[in-house]
Amino acid sequence: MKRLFLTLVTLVVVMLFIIPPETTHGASSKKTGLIPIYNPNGGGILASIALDVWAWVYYERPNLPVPDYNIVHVELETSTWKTSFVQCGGTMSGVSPAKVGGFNISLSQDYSDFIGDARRVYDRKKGNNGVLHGSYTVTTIGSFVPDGRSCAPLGSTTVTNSFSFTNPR
Amino acid sequence: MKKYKSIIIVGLVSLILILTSTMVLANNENQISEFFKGKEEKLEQASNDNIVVTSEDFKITEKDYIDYKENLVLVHKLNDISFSLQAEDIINRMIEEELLYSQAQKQDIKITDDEIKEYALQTKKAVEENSTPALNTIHIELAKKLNVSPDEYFTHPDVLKQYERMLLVGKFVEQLFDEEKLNDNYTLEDFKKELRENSKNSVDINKNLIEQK
Repeated sequence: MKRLFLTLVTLVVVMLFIIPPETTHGASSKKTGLIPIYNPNGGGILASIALDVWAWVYYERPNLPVPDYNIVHVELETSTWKTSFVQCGGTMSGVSPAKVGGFNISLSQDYSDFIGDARRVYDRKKGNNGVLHGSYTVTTIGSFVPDGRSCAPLGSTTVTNSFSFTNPR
Repeated sequence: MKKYKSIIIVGLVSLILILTSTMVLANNENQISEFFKGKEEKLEQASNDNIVVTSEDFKITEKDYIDYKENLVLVHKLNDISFSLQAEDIINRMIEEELLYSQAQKQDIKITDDEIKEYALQTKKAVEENSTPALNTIHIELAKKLNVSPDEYFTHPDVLKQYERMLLVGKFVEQLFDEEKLNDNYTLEDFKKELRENSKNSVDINKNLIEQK
């Protein structure tokens, strides 16, 4: 009995620490939107800030002997294009909730990269949305909020990235 | 009869709403056109011979100052922010931009014609994809000022020069981040401010010229 118990514990420990959960990258999509900007330096439609919105979706199947379930990760990353951010101070963000399979999901802050970086500003958020089988659409939105004292956007400052993902399990 | 009355009332209300929104839009476009007209008048009264800022690497004329200030006014208007910048704030911003550009020029950074052209095409595409009455009006006014068609605006030599400057400064800032001279704790704004502080003894400002503008 003792041996059986020890074997089971060892098995669980091995599965926990040695056998990683099965992870498969599902799909990713990048969308670039262009925003014309009126810039006081030189006066004109000078800089076009392109908002890159990446979204990754993949499922992860835990290795524990628990009821079979999948975790669907949605990660959203926004950044500006090339060097246009220098001309126009502001902030990048991912808009939450995003939509997965028609349902809203809340993206929580994962980490922020290069705050204040004029070249690129990332706002990476991650959300888990439990079990989602089959095919569905993932929609994420990136947003740029300019420094109103430095430049004026002359178009929409959000970029929507929408794509389909098939979870095979 | 009652049925027809309701239809007529709904029709009239819809017409009023359409007319009102058309008037509001037209009013915005008129305001933008008036702004550019007013700016031109102010620039005509300013002179390139009156120097506001002198330094070893650059100079800022009265005309430059008026141009920049008026552009800032428009930016604040478009963002619906009240304009409260003082002359000193404005001139400090201009000095910082010039110092940053001067520093960029001293680096071994090359901007190719293809890069400038690509950026011009991207900006043109941005305008085409985001067509709004306000944007179209601004675009038309800017093209008028250069005596070109709106389509030719993006490849006008003056505009390409602006893009070249922007790309050069942008690459310089990228370099500063790559060299970790800029980071979360020491931002581009801090860097520009320090440039200005360090140049205090070598930059002459004629405050009398700008205080009344």
